[in-house]
Amino acid sequence: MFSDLNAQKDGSSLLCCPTSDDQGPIFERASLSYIPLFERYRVGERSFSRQYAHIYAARLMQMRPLLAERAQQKWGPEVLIRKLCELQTGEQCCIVGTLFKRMDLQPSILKEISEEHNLLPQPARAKYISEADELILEDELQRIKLQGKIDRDKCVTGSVIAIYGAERNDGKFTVEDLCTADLPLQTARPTLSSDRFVLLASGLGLGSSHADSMLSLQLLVDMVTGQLGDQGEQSRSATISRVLLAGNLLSQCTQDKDASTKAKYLTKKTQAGSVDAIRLLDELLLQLSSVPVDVMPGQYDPTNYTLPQQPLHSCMFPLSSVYPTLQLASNPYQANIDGVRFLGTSGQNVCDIQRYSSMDSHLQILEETLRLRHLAPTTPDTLGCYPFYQKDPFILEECPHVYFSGNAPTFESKLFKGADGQEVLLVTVPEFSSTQTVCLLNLRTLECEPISFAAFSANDDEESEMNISH
Amino acid sequence: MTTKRGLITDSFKVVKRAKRGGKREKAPPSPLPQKDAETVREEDLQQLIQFDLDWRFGPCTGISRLQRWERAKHHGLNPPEEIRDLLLQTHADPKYKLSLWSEYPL
Amino acid sequence: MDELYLDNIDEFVNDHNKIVTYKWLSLTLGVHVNTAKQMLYHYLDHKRKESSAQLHATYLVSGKFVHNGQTSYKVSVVREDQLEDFKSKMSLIVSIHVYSVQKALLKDSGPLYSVDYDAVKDNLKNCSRYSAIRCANAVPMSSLELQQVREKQWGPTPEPENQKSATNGDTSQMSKPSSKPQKGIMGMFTNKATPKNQDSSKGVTSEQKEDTPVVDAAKSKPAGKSNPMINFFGSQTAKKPDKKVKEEEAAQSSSASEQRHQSSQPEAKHEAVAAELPKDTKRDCRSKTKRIKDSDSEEEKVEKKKMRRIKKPEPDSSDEDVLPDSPQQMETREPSPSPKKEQSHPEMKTRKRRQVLKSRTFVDDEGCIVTEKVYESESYSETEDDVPASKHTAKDPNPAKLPASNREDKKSQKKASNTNKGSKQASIMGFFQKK
Repeated sequence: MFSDLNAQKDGSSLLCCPTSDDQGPIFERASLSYIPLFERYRVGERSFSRQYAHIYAARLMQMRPLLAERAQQKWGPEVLIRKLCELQTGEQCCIVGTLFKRMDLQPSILKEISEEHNLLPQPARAKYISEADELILEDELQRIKLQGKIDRDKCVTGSVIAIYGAERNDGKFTVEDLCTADLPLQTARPTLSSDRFVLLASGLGLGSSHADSMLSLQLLVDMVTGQLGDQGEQSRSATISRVLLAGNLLSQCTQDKDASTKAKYLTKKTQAGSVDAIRLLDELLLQLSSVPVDVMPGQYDPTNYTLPQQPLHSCMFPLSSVYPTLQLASNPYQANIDGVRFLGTSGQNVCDIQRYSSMDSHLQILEETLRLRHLAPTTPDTLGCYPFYQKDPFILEECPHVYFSGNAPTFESKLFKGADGQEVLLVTVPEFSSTQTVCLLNLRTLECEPISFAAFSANDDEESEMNISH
Repeated sequence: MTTKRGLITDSFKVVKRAKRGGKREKAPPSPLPQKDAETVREEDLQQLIQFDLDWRFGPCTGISRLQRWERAKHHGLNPPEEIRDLLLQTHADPKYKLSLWSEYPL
Repeated sequence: MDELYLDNIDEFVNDHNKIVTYKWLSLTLGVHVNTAKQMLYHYLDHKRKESSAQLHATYLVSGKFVHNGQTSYKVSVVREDQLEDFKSKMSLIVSIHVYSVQKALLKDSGPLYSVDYDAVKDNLKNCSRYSAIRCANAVPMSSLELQQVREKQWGPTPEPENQKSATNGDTSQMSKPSSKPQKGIMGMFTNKATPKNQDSSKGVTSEQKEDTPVVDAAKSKPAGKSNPMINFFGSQTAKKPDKKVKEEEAAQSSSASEQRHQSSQPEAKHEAVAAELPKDTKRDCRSKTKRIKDSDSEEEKVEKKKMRRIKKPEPDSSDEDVLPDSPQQMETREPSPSPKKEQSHPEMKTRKRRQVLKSRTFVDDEGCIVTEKVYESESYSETEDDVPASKHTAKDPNPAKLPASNREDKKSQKKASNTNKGSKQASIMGFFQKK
C-alpha cells in the first residue's frame, strides 16, 4: 500500500538546515501504457426524433441470448423458455424480460399536470419506493405482474432478468427463482513487476460556496506533483502514473437556475456561474500537467446532461489542453491502463438506483449492476440517456478489472469474485468536496487505499472547546 | 417569433402529408392493377409493410427500415434477406426507406 | 550555502508581514521545494533561538491514520500548537515539514490557500518547476499536433470560411475574408468567456486604451478616436470605416498577442470557436435578410454591433484571460507585425484575477443566519493595490527579489500611463468635449 511504501524513513529529513549545493531530488514520473476505450460511448449523430422504445428493444434483444444461456446453466438445459404470449397457466417455465417497477411515488410530469387542481406539492424525497410498488415483467408484446420470491424493493426498472416459476389463476406470475446475466468473461490481468498507482478522485466541486476544501485540493495537487512531503514521499508520488477525475469537477452551485427562468434581457450581461469555476479547473489541470489526467464529466459539469456524457470540450481549457497529458474522457469511462481494464461512471447511475430501490450502499449497487451486466438499468426511465436504437452501449461486453463510480458519500472498495473466476475491484470514489478524500489504486495488487487531506479551520477550536465543556 | 411560425407550419405540413400518404396507400390497389411496374411496387411495399409489422424486430418508428433490418441482423434475429436487397435497390425513395408509420408525428 | 536567505525570509515575514509558505518561497527564490522547506525550518529555528519576535508556523504532516478501523493515508496542515497532539494521533508519520511561517496566528487555513494560489497564478506556466517530479511527456504540443489531436477527438470541424461566404452575402464585397470571421469569433468569445466585461462598458473601453500602446501608436490613435463615434451612430452609415479600422486593429492586436503567446498560449480554442461561428453568422444573416423591417431586431442588431466593436480588442488585455484569435488570421497575418515594439512590452499584465476569501452572511431557507466563507474571483488592476507593494519591494536590497519587483514596477508605470490615456477617451462625452 501507498502508506506502507512510504514508511521507510522517519520522515523528518526536512526538519534541518539546508545543506550546501544540494539541489534537491528529482524523480521521473512513471509512465504506463494507456488505451482509451470510450469510443463506444461517443454519440456521433445526435438525433432526438426517436422514441425510447428502441433502447428497451435493443437491450432485450441483446440480453435475451445471454439470459437464456444463464437460465439453462442454472435450471438445466431442459428448462422451458417461454415468451409471455405463449404462457400457459400453471406451467413451470422460464421467462426472459425487462423489469418494470410501478411506483406510486415516482415523479411524473403527467401526474403533475393532471392533478393540478389539487395543488399538493410532492415533497422532495430521498427514496421513491413504497409498499404499494408492483413489479411487472415485460417482453416485446406483453407484460405480467410478478409475485413470490423476488425482492421487490431491490429491483429497479429496466433490468433484464430471467425468472422461473408459473402463472397462477389470478393472472400473476409466481416467481420461484431468478437469474441475472451476470459478469461477462474477463481477460487476464498481466502481472506487473512494480507498484504503479492510479489516483481516483471525484466531486472536486469547484465554484462551491464552501471554501474549506480548497486548501485540501491544493494539497492533493501538491502531493501528486511532488511538492509536498519529503524525498521518500515524493519518490512514491512519482509512481502515481495516472489521475482520474470522475465527474462533478464543478459544484452544483455553478448551475445557475436563474438563467433558465429569467428573461433573456435581464441575464444578458451576467456571467454564468461556471465560467470562473472552469477557469479555476483549467489552472488546476495545468498544475497537474506533469501527470496524465483523465477528466470525466459529471452531473454538474458543462457538457450534455444525458448519458453517455461526452467529453468536456477542450476549448474550455486553453491553458491545460496543450499538454498531451490531459485526456478529456466521456462518462461512462472505459480504458485499459497498463493492462488493467477500468470501467466506471461519475455516479449518476448509482445515485439513481439508490433513489429507486431499497439499496443504500453505493458499493452494493455497483455490485448489483455488475451482476445485471448493465451499467445503468434505470436509463432511460429515471435517468436521462441518449435514444440509442442499434444497441445499448451500457451493457457490459467485457468484464473490467476495476469498476468504479464517483461522487459517493464515502470511500468503499471490495474485491468481487465472479462465478467464472473474474476478479473485479469495486471502488466507490468519494466526493472530494465533502470528504476531502481520494483513493489510490495499486495496479499491481489491485488494492485501493483512501488518502485524505485536511487543513485546520476556525471551527476546530470551537469543536475542541465544546468537547471540553461537555 | 419566426421560429414559432416555422414550427406551426411544420406541424401542419406533417399532418397534411400524413393524410395524403394514407390515402395513397389505400387507394392505389383498386384502380390500377393492370400496370406492371405499379403492381411490383405494390407488392414490394406490401412486403415491406409486413416487415414493419413483425414485432420480433422491434419498434419501427423513428428509424429507417434498413436501420431496423440491420439491428435485427446484429442481434441474430434473422430478418429476411430479400427485404435488405429491396431496400438497397430503392434506398432513394422515401416510400421504401421509411416505415409505415414514418409520416405520423411522434 | 550562504545564509542570506534568512534575511530574505525575515524581511518577507516581518517587514512585509507576509505569510511565507514553502511553495511561495521556492517560486520566489527559485529553489527546490525541499530546500525551501529546510530554509523555513532553519529560519524558524534561528528565530526561536533569538527569541526576538513571536512567530507562528504551520506544519505539514503526512502518514498513516487509523479511524474506525480503516487505515488511510492522511495529509494535513496543522498549526504548531496542535502539532504534537496531531502527531500522537497518527499511527505512523511518513513525512513532516514546515508548511508556512507567518507573524500572525492563523485562525483558519484560508489565507494559506490564497498565498499559494497567488504564487501559482504568477507562475502558471511553470508552477512545478521546482517540484521533485518530472514528467517527460508533459511538453506542450505544437499547434499542428494540437490540431491533429482535436480533429481526431472531435471530428472535422466545419470550415467556417466557406459557410460564411455562403451565408453572409452582404458584407463579403467590402471586407477581406479574414476580418469578418474574426469579428464573429471575437464577438462570441468575449460574450461568453471574458466575464470582466460583463458589467461596465467603461471598464471595457479603458481596457481598450490600455491595449493601444502595444500596437503601433500612430495607427491606434485614429482608431481610438473613431471608436466612440461609430459607437454612437451605431448602424449602417458607419459600417465601412468601422470595419476597416477594426481590421487594422485586429491585425495588430492579434499579431501582438500571437507573438507573446505563441509557445505557451495555444490556439486551443480556435477550432471550437470556429465551429461555433457558422451558427452565429447564420443567425446574423437571417436577422438581416428576413427581418429588416422588424424594428426590434434592428435595434438588436445595432446593439450586437456595438458590443462587438467595443469588446473586440479586449483579448490583448491580460495574460490569464482566454485569448481568442482565429486560425485564419493566424495564417494571413503572421508576417505583418512589427515585432520590435511588442517585444519591448512582453508582460502587459494590467488586469488580473485573483481568489479572495469573503464572508457572506445571509438568511437561509430555514430562517437561520448563515455565514459562509466563499472564494470569489475578482478582477483587479495592479494600480489598485499592487503598486504600493511593489514600490515597497523595489527598495528592497535583496537581490533575489529584484527581478520580480523590477518587473512589477515597470508594469505599474506602464499601467499608470495607460490609464491616463484611457481616461481621455473613456466616454463618448469626453470625445465630444475635445472637439
